[in-house]
Order: sequence, then C-alpha cells, then structure tokens
Amino acid sequence: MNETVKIDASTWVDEYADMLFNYAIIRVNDHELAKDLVQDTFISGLKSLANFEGKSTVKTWLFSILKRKIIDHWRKQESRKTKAFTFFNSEGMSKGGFVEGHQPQGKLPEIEAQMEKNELREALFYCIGALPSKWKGIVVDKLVEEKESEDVCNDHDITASNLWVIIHRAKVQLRDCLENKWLNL
Amino acid sequence: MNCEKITYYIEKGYLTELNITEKIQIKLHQLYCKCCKNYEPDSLTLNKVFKLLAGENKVDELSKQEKEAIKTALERMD
Repeated sequence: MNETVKIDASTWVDEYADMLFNYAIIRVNDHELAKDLVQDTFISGLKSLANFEGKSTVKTWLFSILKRKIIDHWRKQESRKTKAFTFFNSEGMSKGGFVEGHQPQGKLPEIEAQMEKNELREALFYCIGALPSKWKGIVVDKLVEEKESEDVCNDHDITASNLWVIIHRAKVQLRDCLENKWLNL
Repeated sequence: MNCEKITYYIEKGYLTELNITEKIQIKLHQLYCKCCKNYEPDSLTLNKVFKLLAGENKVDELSKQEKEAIKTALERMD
C-alpha cells in the first residue's frame, strides 16, 4: 500500500467513523456488530479504492458500501425466521377485520411518558428487528430518521404507493409487537 | 369489516394528503369500529416514539480506542 492511501485511511476513520457508526447502530442495535460493519466498510472501501472514480463524494461512496453490508446482515438474520404473520382476516364474515387477539387496544399512548427508559428503547429496536428485512431500511429511514418520502422512494427504488403499503403493513406489525412486548409485561 | 383498508388510509394520511372520500370513510368506519378508533392514537404514538430513537438521543458511540483499533487494522492491510 502506498503512503497516500495510508494517510487517507486514517483520515477516513477520523472523518467518517462516527457518522457511519451512528447510521449502523440504529439499524442493527448491537455495538460490536455496528463497529465491525464500520471497519468492514473501510476495508472494502480501501480494497476497491481503484474503482472509486470520484463520481460521488467519499462519504456517499462509503455509505453505499455500509448500506449493502447492513442489508446483507438483515438477510442472513432473516433466513432463520418464520413467515410474516397476517393481522387481518382473509375470509368469512369478518374479512378485512383485525384477527382475534391482535385487535388494537388503544393503550400505546401510555408508553410516551416512559420514553426515557432503556427497556422501552430495547422494545422498539426489538420490534423493528422483527420486521421483514425488505422493510427494515425503509422503516428506519422514514419513521426513525424522518426522511422525505421522495428520498426514501428513490433510495429504495420503490413508488409512492409501494411506500404507503409497506409503511402500513410495518406499522400494523409494530403496533401489535409493542403492545405485546411492552404493555403485557 | 374493512379495517385493513381503513388502517391503510390512516397510514397513508400521515404520508400524503387524503382525498375527501378517504377521509369520510375513515370517520364513518370509526363510528362503529373500536379497533380502528384505537388504532389511530396507537399509530400516532408509534410515529412519536420511533423518531426519538434517532438524532440527538445518541444510542451509542465508538470510543477513541476502538477508532484507533480500526486505524491499526486498516494500516495492516496490504
């Protein structure tokens, strides 16, 4: 490795490690894993330095590497999980209605006062973690980081109505998860 | 029972402007459906609490030592 690259690598850590780590930690909620993902991102970045043609900024380029690594992690994690649950009846008299035992109780506003508690944060991360991997990035971008819908759609290559459908399904699942996880303790 | 459709409209309403028919359908349905009446405050709470996970409420950060260790690892690369 030549001298210029070495200097770059060290500057990269000072300049981008915190940003990349913040991005990773709210998506994987695991300190060691987030740290490893950041380090792997720098390593991949250095290895493919020749491919970086300066068309984007170093920051954008490193983030695109990290995003791919997080998606890979989610996919690996998901293969161990079971199929998504359906929250609405698909037939009979109550077609389209909430499935018994998963009907909204309207109790979630009670948790707002407890937002300071670490256990609640953990419950929120747990519920995001239980979402299908395809939805996670979209949900974190939109609901946690509150990015503009247009940007979320562009980043994930989906239409506005795709976004509405995904956010709806995700929210129904998150609501149910949080009610079970937090209020029924 | 079309809670699936009504909750979809509720969520869509947080992301974009609903048309008048959609708004009326939500209101009418909520007159007799407790689930969808309860769904709305629950969903609003989710909007509030999830955004608190980001931003200044830093979840965690890298220590100086960890950053130095990353630098060392990068320097060791060929």
